[in-house]
Amino acid sequence: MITVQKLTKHYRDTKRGTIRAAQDISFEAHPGEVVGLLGCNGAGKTTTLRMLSTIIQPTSGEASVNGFSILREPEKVRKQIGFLSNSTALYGRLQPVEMLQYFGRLCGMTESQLSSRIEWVLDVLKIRDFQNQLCDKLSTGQKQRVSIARAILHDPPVLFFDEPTAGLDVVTSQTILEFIEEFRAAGKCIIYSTHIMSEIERLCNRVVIIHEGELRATGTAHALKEETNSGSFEEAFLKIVGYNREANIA
Amino acid sequence: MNWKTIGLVFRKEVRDMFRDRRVVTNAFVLPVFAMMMMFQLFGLIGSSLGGKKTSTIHIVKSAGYEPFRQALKVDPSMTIKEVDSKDKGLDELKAGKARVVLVFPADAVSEGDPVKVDAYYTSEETTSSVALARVEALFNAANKAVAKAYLKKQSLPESVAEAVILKPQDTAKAKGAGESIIAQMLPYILIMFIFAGGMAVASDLVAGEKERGTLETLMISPALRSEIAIGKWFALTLFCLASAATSVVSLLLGSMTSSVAKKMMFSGELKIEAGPILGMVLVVMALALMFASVQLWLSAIAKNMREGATYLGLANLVVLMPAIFSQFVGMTDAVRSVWIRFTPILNSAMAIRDVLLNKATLLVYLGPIVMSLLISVIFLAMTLRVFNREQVLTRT
Repeated sequence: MITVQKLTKHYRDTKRGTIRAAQDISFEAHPGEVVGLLGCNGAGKTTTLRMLSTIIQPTSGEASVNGFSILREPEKVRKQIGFLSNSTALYGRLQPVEMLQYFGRLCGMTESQLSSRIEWVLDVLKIRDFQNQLCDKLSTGQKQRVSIARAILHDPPVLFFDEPTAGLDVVTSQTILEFIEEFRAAGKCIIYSTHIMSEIERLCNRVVIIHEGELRATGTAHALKEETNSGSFEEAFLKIVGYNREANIA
Repeated sequence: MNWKTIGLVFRKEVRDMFRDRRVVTNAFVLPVFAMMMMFQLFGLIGSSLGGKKTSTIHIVKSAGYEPFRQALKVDPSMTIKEVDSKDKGLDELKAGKARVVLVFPADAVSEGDPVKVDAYYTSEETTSSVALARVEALFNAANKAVAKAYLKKQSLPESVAEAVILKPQDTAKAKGAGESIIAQMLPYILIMFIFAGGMAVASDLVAGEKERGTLETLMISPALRSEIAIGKWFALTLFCLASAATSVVSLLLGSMTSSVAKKMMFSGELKIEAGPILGMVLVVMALALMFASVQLWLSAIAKNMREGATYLGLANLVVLMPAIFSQFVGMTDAVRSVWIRFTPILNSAMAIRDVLLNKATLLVYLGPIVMSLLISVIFLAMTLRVFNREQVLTRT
């Protein structure tokens, strides 16, 4: 479903020179599977997801999403994906239903598909109570539910979630994690980026650990714990990224 | 390129813009208010210039020169006051109570010699200069009357006093239209409001969306980036045109609020036919497309809304220069120069002016339309280039 081969992204900065945001990232993801992208802040997770969703172009490497190349067929790739991140905001002066209609039509949905699908997401994501309010007036949790609705509206086979629970309360986070479990059960291929270990352990079939733009490890959470002789997944992660307590204190 | 997608983006942007109170206030409410205020001011200025106001002329008391004194006294535009001395008259002039102080010679003048009257005024005050001009005109008329009386006494024909008489013959198609302020002001007002209307939303359209994160949401959709940019361009053009329409309606409504302003604005016979009106509309549309493409490009290259607003502010200055010049170019020899027809914005202003003066030809419209469209295409291509690069999202 998703094949990533040596995906690399370099930026040029006049002050800092060349920044290696991602270097030779390779992994695969399959239908009905959640692959976790794990890393510290600035590790390269969002850059990788942005390249896969064709928002930015890789410096080198290649990837395909549901059989379409991100380099040669970016429009087709975008039809296959639903993307949710902190930087994908809502239009404040549109109502949730107007927002969904707009994006549904941009995705090429017919009016009958659109109306039935909107009815479905309004119920499933419990948006009905605030469907006629402007998005600017919604709470953070309500906004996130509308964002998820926008991402899944056209029923894409691939979903990218970039820290979807950031800034949310425990109850709303729980609801979102439950949705993702349902999407996985429905056979969606999901890439889930986070730095929260408990979410990785709960949701992900496999983990891709990225540190300072480089791929450090891949495998199941259990296998990574065993490989690193760690008592917890958090400990395994710290060993993999080379965390040194003494050096850090110094 | 899918026109359905462009239409979707266009409709969404228009709906979004009209829901923004700040934008509606800046683009529509404030211009109407400003125009009403301007006309009230026109009314005040007009009534002060053409109303009952008179120039106060002080004459230092002395004997003789009755024909001149009488001529001054019967003129309704002057109020004559006699003062005891020249110094007192000058004090009044300094205090602004007198506009001109006339001092007739105290001693008798030999017959045949001209009478030299000192007229004190101050060039720092326009009202003083105007009063002096009125006195000069009056003295010329009085001189002529004296000369004619003398010729009559000598049994000579009075026409000797006026050997040549100049008779102005107006050949304008719309007589008096040149005097009409609307022919000078409308091009300037239209240009200013077309740009200002777009300015109110342009910064928000790309830089604002980038700042809020909605641009990324939009770019993840299957729509082509060029479709998104063109949809936004059309929406921005519509806003520019809506602002232009508001300015014209405000101008007409505002002129109705004051009879003096109405007279000043439409003093000539403005007879405009359907063809030239259509030509003017096309010139305005091409101008709106051009401004929208420039503004969209500036918004696309800006890091954030603040930077976008700065770029647009500077661009506004560039636009205002030819717009302001267009008001005065009719008073100079440059009005028929070829370079004016090839100067963007100024050529559009001149085409609108020519329509109002009823002397526009096909060439007058074609020049600005072709030039504005050419510039639109160049800036649109530059905008599409920016949209198709990831910097449109990552440059923050």
